[in-house]
Amino acid sequence: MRTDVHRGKRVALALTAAAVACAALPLLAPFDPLVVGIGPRLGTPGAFHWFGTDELGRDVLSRVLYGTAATVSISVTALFSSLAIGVVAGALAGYYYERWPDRIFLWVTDFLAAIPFIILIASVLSLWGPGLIHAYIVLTTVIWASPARVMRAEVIQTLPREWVMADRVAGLSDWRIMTRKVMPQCMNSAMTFSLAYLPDVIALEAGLSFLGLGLQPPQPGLGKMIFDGMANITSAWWLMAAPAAALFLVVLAIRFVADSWI
Amino acid sequence: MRFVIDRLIYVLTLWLGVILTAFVIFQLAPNDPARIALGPNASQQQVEAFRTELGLEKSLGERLTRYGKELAQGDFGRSFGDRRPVAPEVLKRIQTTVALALLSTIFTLSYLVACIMAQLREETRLFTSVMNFLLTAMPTMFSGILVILFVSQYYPYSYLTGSWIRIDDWLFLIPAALVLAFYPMGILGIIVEDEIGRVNRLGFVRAAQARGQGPVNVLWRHKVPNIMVPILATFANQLPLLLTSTFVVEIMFSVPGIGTLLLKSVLDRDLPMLQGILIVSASFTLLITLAVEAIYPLIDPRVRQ
Repeated sequence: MRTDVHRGKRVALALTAAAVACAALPLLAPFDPLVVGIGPRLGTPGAFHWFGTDELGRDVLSRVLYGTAATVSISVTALFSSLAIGVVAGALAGYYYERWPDRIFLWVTDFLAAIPFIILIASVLSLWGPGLIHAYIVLTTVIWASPARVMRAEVIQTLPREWVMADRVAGLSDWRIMTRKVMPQCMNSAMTFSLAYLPDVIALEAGLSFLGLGLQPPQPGLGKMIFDGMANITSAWWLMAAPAAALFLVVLAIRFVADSWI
Repeated sequence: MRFVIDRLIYVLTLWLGVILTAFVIFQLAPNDPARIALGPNASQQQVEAFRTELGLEKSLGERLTRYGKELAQGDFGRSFGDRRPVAPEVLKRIQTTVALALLSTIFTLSYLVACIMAQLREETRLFTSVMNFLLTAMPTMFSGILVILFVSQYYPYSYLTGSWIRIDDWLFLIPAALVLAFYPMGILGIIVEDEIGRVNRLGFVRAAQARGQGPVNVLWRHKVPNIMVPILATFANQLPLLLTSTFVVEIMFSVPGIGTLLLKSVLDRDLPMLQGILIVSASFTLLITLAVEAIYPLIDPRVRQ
């Protein structure tokens, strides 16, 4: 892993590019994903419908493209928001190391680590009602703790460094040192971590959708498509395989970028 | 000793926090739980009667005391679905989930040992490196579908009899446990690779080699003890996310564990059941965290001070 100052910017660029690319995926869709009876029911993959059609005769390729766009855009926005929360909270905790803000921070992050995410999210969503906005809010509230911990550890390591001391001696205020010097430096690590964390967030989002708590039908969500496809596993394997392959490709692409470019 | 007691008290506060959260989530819901339970077709009188039964008429303080009392007696309320008590059902299901998790931990550990051994030779090291990359690139849903499509059809053990003495039940869990283990295998494999690479450059490894110790000996006596802490830490960090894949795998392979129960409860909007699942799984996670913390001093003498 290279350690230069622009690493954080590259991660931000990669994430934004991924979000934009996935948001543009629906433009490639050959059919409307919601129109019923565009092809035969459970039609096999062929030249006309590349990934076949589902039990209502909808084009699976179009649905997969729309579903991927939804999954990735929710995950990336939730990741960005959690990164924003995490950077601020982690910097505060690192600055007040071993004083009460840090203790509260540790308690809250430990608490979030104790509750299995999916159960918490499932409970909240089945009460508040499923949907895109709710999924995004709950997802952000549970995942901010991991980038925040990375940020805190980084700040704690950075503060005793000589160059921070030098800034102190030069008479810079603590606020200025934190916001202008320490935080930009430490954000590199938090950003790099967040890219490695993205597959987990996507898996979580897909898990939500799998339980029927993401995008509501008839809107296509990757997890929901996989779940629905299980009913036809023996007669129509493509219903399950197509969205799963899309999920695989997305995660594979993220891993490649994280390993080779960042 | 002082430290241990402090730690236990700290975990206890976390646990109380979980219980309080479960209460808050279910009491402050914007929708009426009684209406959710009875559905849109129930009459207003029925809903009112059910509200009284659930104690929703009382003040928040009274409800909290009642909730605390019931929990202390091990009473998680009754399911909205079939009106049966929640506690026995959740406890029955969690056995299966724990068995599944146990089996997949065994797979993960065996892979880890293989991965460490593979570090001895350059060819095998490269091979595991590629393996790790693939394993982490596959979401559980994808690997699960691969196994279902290509293996499950030919796999003879397709249901759970419910008695753990019989080998059949464990054999039934094997494909699911394997799929569940893929992701942690890859993640921990990468950590092994990175950490061995880091340790290789350190002086004591060279010193051991200079004394004429064989490569296997150096690996297990000198390198492995020094990479245990990061491995354990990564494992502990993965836990809350690991449970998500556990549930997905359970539903895919129709294993009657907590995951399938969660799905059913979400579909039925079965609030007491969800509450029970939340509390019991969080308690288990806390216990595992405690166990992991208890292992640290065993593998790293520096922590003991």
